[in-house]
Amino acid sequence: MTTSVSHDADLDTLTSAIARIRSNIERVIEGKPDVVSSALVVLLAEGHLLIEDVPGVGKTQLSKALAHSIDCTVRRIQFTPDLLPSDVTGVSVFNQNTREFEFRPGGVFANIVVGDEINRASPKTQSALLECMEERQVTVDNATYMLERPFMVIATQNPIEMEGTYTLPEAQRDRFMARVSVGYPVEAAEIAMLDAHTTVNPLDDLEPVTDAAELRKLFQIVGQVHVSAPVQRYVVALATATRKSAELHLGASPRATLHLMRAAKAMAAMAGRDYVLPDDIHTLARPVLTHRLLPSVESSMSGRTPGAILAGILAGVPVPEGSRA
Amino acid sequence: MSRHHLPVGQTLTLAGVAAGTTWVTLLSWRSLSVNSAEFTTPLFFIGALIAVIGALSRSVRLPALVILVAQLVVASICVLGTVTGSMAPTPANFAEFTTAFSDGLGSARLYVAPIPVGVPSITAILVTCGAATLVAVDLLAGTLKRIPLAGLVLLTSYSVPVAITGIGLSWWEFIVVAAGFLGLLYLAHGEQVSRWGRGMSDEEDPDPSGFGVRTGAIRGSALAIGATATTLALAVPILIPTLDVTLFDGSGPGERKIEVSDPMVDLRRDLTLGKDIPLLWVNTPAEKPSYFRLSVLTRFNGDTWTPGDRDIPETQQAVGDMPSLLGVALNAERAESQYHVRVSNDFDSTWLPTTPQVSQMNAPGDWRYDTSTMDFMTPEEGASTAGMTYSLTGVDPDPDPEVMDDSVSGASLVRSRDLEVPSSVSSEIRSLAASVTADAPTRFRKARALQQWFREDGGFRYSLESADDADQGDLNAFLDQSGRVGYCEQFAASMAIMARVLGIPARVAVGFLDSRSAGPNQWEFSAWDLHAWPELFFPGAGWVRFEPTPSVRAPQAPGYTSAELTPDSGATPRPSTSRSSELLPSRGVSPSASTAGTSDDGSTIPWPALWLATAGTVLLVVLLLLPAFVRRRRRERRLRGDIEELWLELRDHAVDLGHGWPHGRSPHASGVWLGSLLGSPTATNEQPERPRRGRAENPEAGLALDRVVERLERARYSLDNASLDAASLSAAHDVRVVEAALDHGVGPRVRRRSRWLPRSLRRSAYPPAQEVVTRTAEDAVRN
Repeated sequence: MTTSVSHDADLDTLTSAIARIRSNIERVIEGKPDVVSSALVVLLAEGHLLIEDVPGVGKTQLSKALAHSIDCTVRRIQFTPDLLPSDVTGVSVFNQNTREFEFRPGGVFANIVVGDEINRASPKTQSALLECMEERQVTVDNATYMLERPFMVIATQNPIEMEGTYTLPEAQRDRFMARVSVGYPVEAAEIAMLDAHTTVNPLDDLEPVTDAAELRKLFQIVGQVHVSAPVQRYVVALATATRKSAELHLGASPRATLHLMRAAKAMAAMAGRDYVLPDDIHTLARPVLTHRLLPSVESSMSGRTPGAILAGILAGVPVPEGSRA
Repeated sequence: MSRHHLPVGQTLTLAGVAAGTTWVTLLSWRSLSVNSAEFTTPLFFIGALIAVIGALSRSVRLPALVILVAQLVVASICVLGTVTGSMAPTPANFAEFTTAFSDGLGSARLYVAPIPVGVPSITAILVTCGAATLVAVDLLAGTLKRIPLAGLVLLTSYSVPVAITGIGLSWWEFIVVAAGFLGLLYLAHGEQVSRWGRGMSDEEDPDPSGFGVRTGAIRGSALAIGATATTLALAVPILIPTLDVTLFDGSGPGERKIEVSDPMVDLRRDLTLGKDIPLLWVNTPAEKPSYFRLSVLTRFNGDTWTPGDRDIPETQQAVGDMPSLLGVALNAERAESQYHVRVSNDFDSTWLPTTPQVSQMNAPGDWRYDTSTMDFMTPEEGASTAGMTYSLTGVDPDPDPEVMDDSVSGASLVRSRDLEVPSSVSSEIRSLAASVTADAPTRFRKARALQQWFREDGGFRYSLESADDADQGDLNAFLDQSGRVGYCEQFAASMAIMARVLGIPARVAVGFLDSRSAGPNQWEFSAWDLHAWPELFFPGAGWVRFEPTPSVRAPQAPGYTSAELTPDSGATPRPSTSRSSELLPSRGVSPSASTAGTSDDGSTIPWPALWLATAGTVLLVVLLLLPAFVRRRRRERRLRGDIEELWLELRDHAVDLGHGWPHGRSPHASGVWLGSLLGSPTATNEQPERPRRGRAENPEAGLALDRVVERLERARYSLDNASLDAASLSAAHDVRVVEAALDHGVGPRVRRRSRWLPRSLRRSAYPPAQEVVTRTAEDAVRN
């Protein structure tokens, strides 16, 4: 019983910290609670976030707001076609004074890395970043450098149809825990934005409301969230359904299943629960799975987007009911 | 729907069902005629024609009067064609039709249904009436949309033959008629409602096979009306005693009523003659003749029996073939024998001695017969039987006691005077008749009981001493405990009047009892053989002789009066006939008689039928209550169970209320869905069919629902679900609150149905997952 009580207290800490971060971010991004929630879930689940949308809707604002709310190291890398992999990972430079090679850390050496317009970089540079994301380490000239926790990459990208972009290969998309679209603000929020943002940039006023150490503690709390057998079955059933669907050329990978489960745990913790509900899975399936799915040729031709296909699958996979149903 | 044209298919269906139902109903008329195909087949085609005409003209919205006239014209031509063989409306054809019709009426008067082959057919009447019924039903059901009235016409056309013959439709025909009637209601209401516009039902999916309207309500009212009408159709022929149809009691042209001399006087005189005088000799190859009848006494004036009126037109001469036996079934066993009769010069009678049933007669002189009594008399002054010789073919029917035991009332088949009981008949006689026959369930058994009582059980003694007493007619004295001494006349008279009191048509026959051999094939009747006996009428057997006079005088009672009867034949109602109607008093009895004769004791109450009806009703009620009972037990058990049981109960309750439970959704999603169905009790007493519903209507129930959902989620998905059991008591309370709110979210009709016919008891109440999937998938894409 005591563990339960202490766990409850932990959950309270988590929810209050998340509430602080959320209110901070929402000072910058107004009227997009779902997007903010997704970002926070990914943060808590130690994943990486891909924000995809047309220019000017606040992708960078969101990532910066999140980064500024946490008292930790933040680096921003602007991806361009001439960006080199060493600009991301770092490079060994010969120091004339010490007569030794000396490692100069690249852009990824930070707690939060904001990769702006990631799909404008060449595939070579992209893959350099993506290796760091998965391994959480950087290897340069036989030397391996560990990246400090928390390590979160928030990448933004323009839709692939835009000019001068390189499509992220599916293997690399798979490394992002979730993809969100900010979307245009609703009318009222846009008017409010005109009021607030024309005079000052609200990002400048953002103060950090938590730090890396607290985040690490929160990760631990999330890890303790219970996942029951029916929920596990549900997650696997969903993944299997995407793999079997005739409309999809490529379904969800096991990594996707893992990401979905971790995200669901984070979401449950954010809701103050120490157990995952099928509804958490249901809610997160769209941001976590959609960007990994590859529609078959037929469904592409008939205009079925991965989002619509996934919605059909979600409706079709029954939630495991109670043992006596 | 077009403003000017109704869909032909719709009107055709309605008209077709109406005509079909009517035709099957008319099949009940088969019992009226032996050759039933003669009218059922043409009526089928006439019905089809009428239906097609009605449907087509209704679909182009012709005025009702035009439709009716068209149908009448076509039906008349068809009837004419059926009866005369030619559809041309020429005067000759009309005359032929009129003749056929009046011949049919004559047959109906003369013969017991079914009208046998070989006599003028009643097809003309049946086809005419049938066509009229078809037109009437089509008018009421199709043109005027008054289905219940059409049902009344059907009921009438069904009740008439049942009342006359007691033979109704077989059970499957009845079901077809009932189903057809329900179908009519359904179709007509559907059409009516579809004119109001589409229903806005959201609690029930529109029936794809229906008319796209709220067919549930139509179905309900159709069933209610239909059930009432069907019950009426069942109950009316049972409850109404058999009709006394006076149509069969008419009199033709050329009649000549005469009062005849009283044979009773002769009887008394001759019986007490000092010596026995031979009166007639009978030559026959058959066995020893007995019960040669002189006359029939049909009228009881309160003191004594008299012959009553005779209807003897000149056409009814005692020469040649006689009319077929009244009321005797064609298939009944019979033996015919030739008799040559020579009457002594001493026997001066205006009545011819014959066998009681005669099929052929050959008597010289002006002798005539009456069709109902079938005795022979002369209208000539001074003419008598003295010294006459004549021949006849006598019929000796062998009535089947089982047939008589099963037979319905014969009241409608005889003239009403054969049942007349004068009001002067004392109440002692009436109650005596009832008490003597109290144990006998059927009319035939009552008659047998009477005979047994007179012959043996009643303590009667045969004596001719009282024969010349002046007050011999005092039946009260004869029947009184202190009396009970008399001779044949009193026995016969008493039994006949007591039978009439019991609703059995009865009369007294006067004639010769027994003969002695007077040479080879020659038999002699003498004065001392004169005798009187009662004849009682049973449909199928006709007028049947009984013998109440004790064995001192008449040693042998007729065999059928002592034959063993099937024990239960009187107790088990046959399925299709209104069996119990024969157990009720006949309306042919005069009011005073029926009150005294049948209500003084309870013997005429059809106990077996009542018991059966009660048991059936109880069974029906139990069957109707069973689903509600099972559901209630299940609910009580579940409300004591854990949260999963409670959740199942909540699911079943929603299903009972007609909500399709979404399959394969999480508790939370199901909870959100349930929340949208919550309603709140209205402040006023009015109960709207479509109450407002949603979480906002009943926040308290919404919170209770949330608690239930959370408990279920904890139980299913959380690690520490051990501490939950203690809370299940309050969870049960929450479930009750939610269920009450769900109840308030539907109309009273749905609520009642959920209570008495819970859908959750059916397996199919839970749709397979796939069904829900497609729907929600589409919704998701659309959203």
